[in-house]
Amino acid sequence: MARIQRWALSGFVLAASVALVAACGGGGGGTTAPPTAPAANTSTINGINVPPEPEATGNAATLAGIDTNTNGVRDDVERSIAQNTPQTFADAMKVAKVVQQQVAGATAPTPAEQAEAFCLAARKATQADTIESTTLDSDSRLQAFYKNRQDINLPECQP
Amino acid sequence: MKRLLWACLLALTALMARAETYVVYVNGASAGTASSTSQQALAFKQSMNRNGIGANVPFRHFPIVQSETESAFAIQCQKILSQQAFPLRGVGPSTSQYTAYLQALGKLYESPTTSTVTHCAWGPGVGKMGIATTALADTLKGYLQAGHKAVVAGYSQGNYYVEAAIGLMLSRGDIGDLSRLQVVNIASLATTTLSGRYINATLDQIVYTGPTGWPHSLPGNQELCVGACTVKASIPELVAAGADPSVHFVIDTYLNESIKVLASQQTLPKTIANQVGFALAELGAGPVGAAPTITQLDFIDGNTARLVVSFDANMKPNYWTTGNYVPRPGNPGSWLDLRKFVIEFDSYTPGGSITLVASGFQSEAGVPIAADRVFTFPGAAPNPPPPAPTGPAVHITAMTYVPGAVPRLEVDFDTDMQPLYYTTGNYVPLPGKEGYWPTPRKFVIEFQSVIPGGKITLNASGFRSLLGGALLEDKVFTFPNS
Repeated sequence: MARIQRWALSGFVLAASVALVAACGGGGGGTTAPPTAPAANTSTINGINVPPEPEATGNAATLAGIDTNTNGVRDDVERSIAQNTPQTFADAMKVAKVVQQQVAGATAPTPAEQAEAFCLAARKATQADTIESTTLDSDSRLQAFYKNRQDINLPECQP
Repeated sequence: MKRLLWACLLALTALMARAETYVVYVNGASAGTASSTSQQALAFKQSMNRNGIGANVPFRHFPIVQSETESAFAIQCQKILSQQAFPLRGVGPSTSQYTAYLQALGKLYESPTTSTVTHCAWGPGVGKMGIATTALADTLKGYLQAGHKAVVAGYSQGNYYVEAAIGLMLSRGDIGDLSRLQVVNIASLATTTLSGRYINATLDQIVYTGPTGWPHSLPGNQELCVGACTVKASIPELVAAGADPSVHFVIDTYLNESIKVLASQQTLPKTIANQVGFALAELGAGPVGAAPTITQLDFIDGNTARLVVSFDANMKPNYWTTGNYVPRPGNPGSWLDLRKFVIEFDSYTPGGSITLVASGFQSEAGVPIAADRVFTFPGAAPNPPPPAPTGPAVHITAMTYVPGAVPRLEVDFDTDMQPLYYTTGNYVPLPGKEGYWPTPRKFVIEFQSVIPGGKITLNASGFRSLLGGALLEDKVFTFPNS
């Protein structure tokens, strides 16, 4: 429900913005420049397209939170990764996805996925602690994480 | 009905699963430290593997996601409780004090909304630490229920969680004692050392002199040194060797191969690995490290001949030798130090041998040398080597061990044999019945005693057929374990 409300609000803001631009841009001849602003459902951080900052109450209302681009990582976590570790964005997203799966995923990560995520998290550059503390930002999410996590033997990680 | 079937299936699976002994790393505070918690866990595993804990030992990581600040409420209560329980720092509490403290600690977590501990702001503030502690207790309980055991290695504030989780398990009645759990505390902020195994550097600034202060943590027990290690190192010397300035970080300091413990001259990570190894051995996990090797064998002849055996690792002070010698009465074998064994002889057979039996020489972690080691005494062999076989090969058709007051081994051959034999092994033969042939195809040896699980070898060259054929290879029989 929270997500539907948010989309409705975004749609209204977008429509109003378009109307305002059209109204102010009128008059005179010449060509109209194509819109350069990102669509309302994305923004760019360190050159990486990420979803907009989610509305806090809605994001905290469920274990899963808000994931508008449905890539398995909460929007606020994705933005935080783009902000903190743009160089290792892809690896950090894999770690975040596995943590999120353990909190609220429809399916649990496989042992292989978990092992890969562990090895990526063991690299300093991914700043895995920040990913975990951002994802597990409430008692209920932490509780779910511990409940759903699969306890695997530590893998051999390539350097 | 369906549920019952599932329950049965799960129970069966648990029974069928191989019982294992895990080493579980419980990390310290997350966020703000130099390394991620996963990085800590991986480094710990790799360091332990390098220092003798075999790759066959399964390592796990229980992640603590909290910073010190997030754990502060609960830790404060734990500190107050421990200070009340053990008012004198460094004075070892009795077992009953320990149990009472752990029970009280467990009760805190059983009732996360109320507390009778004075000045303890229990309640919602317990938050994440309560969740993590309960989850750790549940995880350990799950191991035990599945038939496994665990060595829990806590680092820094992770030890508070370990202490609290085990307290909770005791107070919930999950366990009655620590017979299937062992704890190794590293850079511990906790008050107790549940298995008596902790490694705290005396210069650890976070534990002992940091601004937050942990007045009731266990006293430092490891003086550190670097380089030649003749005196204890200062903090700048440790930092020059790669330690962090607080002498506390697990990777920079405690797993740093350049830092040693002054008393033992062993590296700090090796010291930790030894403790983990002892804990695993305590749980009956079997050999857990690399096999020690013999680096030198020195035979010194003379009035009292002796053999000195040097090893590349610290050894348990046991031994097991057999061979053609008479040991010196009163001093058949002894350890000059942890790496040097000596055996003195009243006499020996020239050209005979002494065997150092592998299972009798074990490293401190309980790993035996890889194979028996045979040393041949100097001098001519007492008997010339047997002639090369001339007839068709001989085969053994049956080997029967008959237990009893006088156990015996019966060996059947596929052809008529000469009345010779040559056996060696872990037994004492019955005098007069060392070996005999009741028929041309049956050899029997009777024993005064045998070593359970030991071996007897029928040496190929000692068994010849009437046609001159020999066994193709030595034949080994293993005595039953009981």
